[in-house]
Amino acid sequence: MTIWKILEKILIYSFAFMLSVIIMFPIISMISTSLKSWSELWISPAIWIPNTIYFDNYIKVWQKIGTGLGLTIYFRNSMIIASGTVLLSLMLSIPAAYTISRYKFKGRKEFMFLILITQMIPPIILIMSLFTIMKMFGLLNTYLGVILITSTFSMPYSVWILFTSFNAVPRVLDEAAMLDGCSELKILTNIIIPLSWHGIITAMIYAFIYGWSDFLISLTFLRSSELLPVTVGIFNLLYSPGTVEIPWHEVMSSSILSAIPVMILFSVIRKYLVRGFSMGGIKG
Amino acid sequence: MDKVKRSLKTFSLRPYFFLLPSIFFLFLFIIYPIFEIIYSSFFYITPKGEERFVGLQNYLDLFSDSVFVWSLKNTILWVILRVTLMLILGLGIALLINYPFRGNSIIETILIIPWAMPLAIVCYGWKWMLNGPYGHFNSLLNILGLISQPFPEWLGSPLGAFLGVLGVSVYTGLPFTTLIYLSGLKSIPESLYEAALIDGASIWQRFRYITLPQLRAVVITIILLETIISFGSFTTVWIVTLGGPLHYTELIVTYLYKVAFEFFNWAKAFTIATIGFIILFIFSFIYISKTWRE
Repeated sequence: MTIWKILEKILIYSFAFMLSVIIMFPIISMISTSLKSWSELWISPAIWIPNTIYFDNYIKVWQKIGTGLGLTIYFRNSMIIASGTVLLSLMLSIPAAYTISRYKFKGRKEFMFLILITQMIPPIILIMSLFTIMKMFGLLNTYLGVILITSTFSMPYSVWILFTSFNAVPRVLDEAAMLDGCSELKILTNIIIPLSWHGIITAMIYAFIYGWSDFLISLTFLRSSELLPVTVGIFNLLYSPGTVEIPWHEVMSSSILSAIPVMILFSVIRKYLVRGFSMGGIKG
Repeated sequence: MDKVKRSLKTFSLRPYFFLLPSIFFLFLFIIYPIFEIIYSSFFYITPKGEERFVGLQNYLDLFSDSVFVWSLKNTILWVILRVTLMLILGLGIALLINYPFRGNSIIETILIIPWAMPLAIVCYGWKWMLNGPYGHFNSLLNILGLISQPFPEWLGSPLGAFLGVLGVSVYTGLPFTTLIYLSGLKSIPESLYEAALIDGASIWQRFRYITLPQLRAVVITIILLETIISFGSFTTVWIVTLGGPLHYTELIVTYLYKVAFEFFNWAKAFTIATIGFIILFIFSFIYISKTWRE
């Protein structure tokens, strides 16, 4: 019995170890590459620990990645798109979530169904039509055009997060405030929102990550390189015609730098994303 | 509570007023585009930009396009492989994390990393890692003695590129699937296992007759959700291979993008989008109706 227990333990630990190595492998590869110098990049087979650790890659990319623009500009653009997404997405989803949480009305079920089904449609399927709409409004090559779409596509899940957290605020409080003569707006801003800040923060972070991680919308709508977010900026570095040798060491240091803000935010709302999955928290 | 409801009822138009902004956005940027792509797929666009109704002609033309048929077959293969891998690997990892041993929370934390990073960023990392002469993947295989110089260029060969993209996609998608499995595993009542232990059931028997049947709903959820996600894997393929080499990693979503924004054949692209939408809609509808009932 004990020998089996020990064998079982050994098996479990070796599986766990292998799994962690496999998961960490691409990350370690990225970190290793990001610390190489240009000449060490082109050693075959690839070395793991650079002979001279080249932290410089993390500093000079802010000015210039390869022959392209610097990370400062890409970061600014990503920040604008992500914050815009947070703002608009919350402005749309707070009233929607409040209404389906507090009102009984004809069409409530249909609206909730609409919310659920629309979050299943990925933007790639509709991209041509979205492109035409933006062209019509003259919003191609603007941040606003991108933000309108990322907000719309991140809204359904935000509504869902907010709906569950608004529902957790006791309705007795609404009632009491209403008897005291509070307006609905006051109830929302002074009672419901402060009491469900957990949900609000989660929805904000979710929208931020959605905006920051967006690739397709910016790739399609934005033309000028000084407007591109970091995801597309790096892409253009890899695929722009005439690129002979890609500065992969700088690509990796920029990639790691741009993943950090999202990873920190992600770890904050991780628990919630897992709990709320059943209604389809789809990322990417 | 009744009082609130009654007092709110008197403003019967209010809820619609509050919902107006969100409904407006959903209609303008999701519902209207759906109808536009379906509608436009029945028209031919002349070089002058005029639209002429052609019935199902675009669909007939599309299915005689060998690249489209190829990408459709590729997509089906892709979805089946990706979903199967997710189901098996996800269950394995979830069972491992669920097993009470020191360090399972560390594994859980490590597991989240690929999901927490922006998808595009992970794809850049993999693209260079899989590089033939200079990537770390071949370097590892070399150390293990599995390959020698000249190293294979994975993303340059048909099978290698397909497996490479599949690898990235499974890598980034597994955390999510595993967490769904985990929440399923945690909801299985402990008493079932205790009863089985008293009856002297082996590990395998407990897994086969308790764990698996109890996970039925979770497995169906994963199949439907992952089918929908696999179907729309544009970003991964576009960054890692652009659908190449030739069309070996082409999915209908990447082909759609090429036809629309590189070949500017909009009538054809609308038709591809419509077919894609119908397939997606069927799976989404089944999924939503299922979760709705719960």
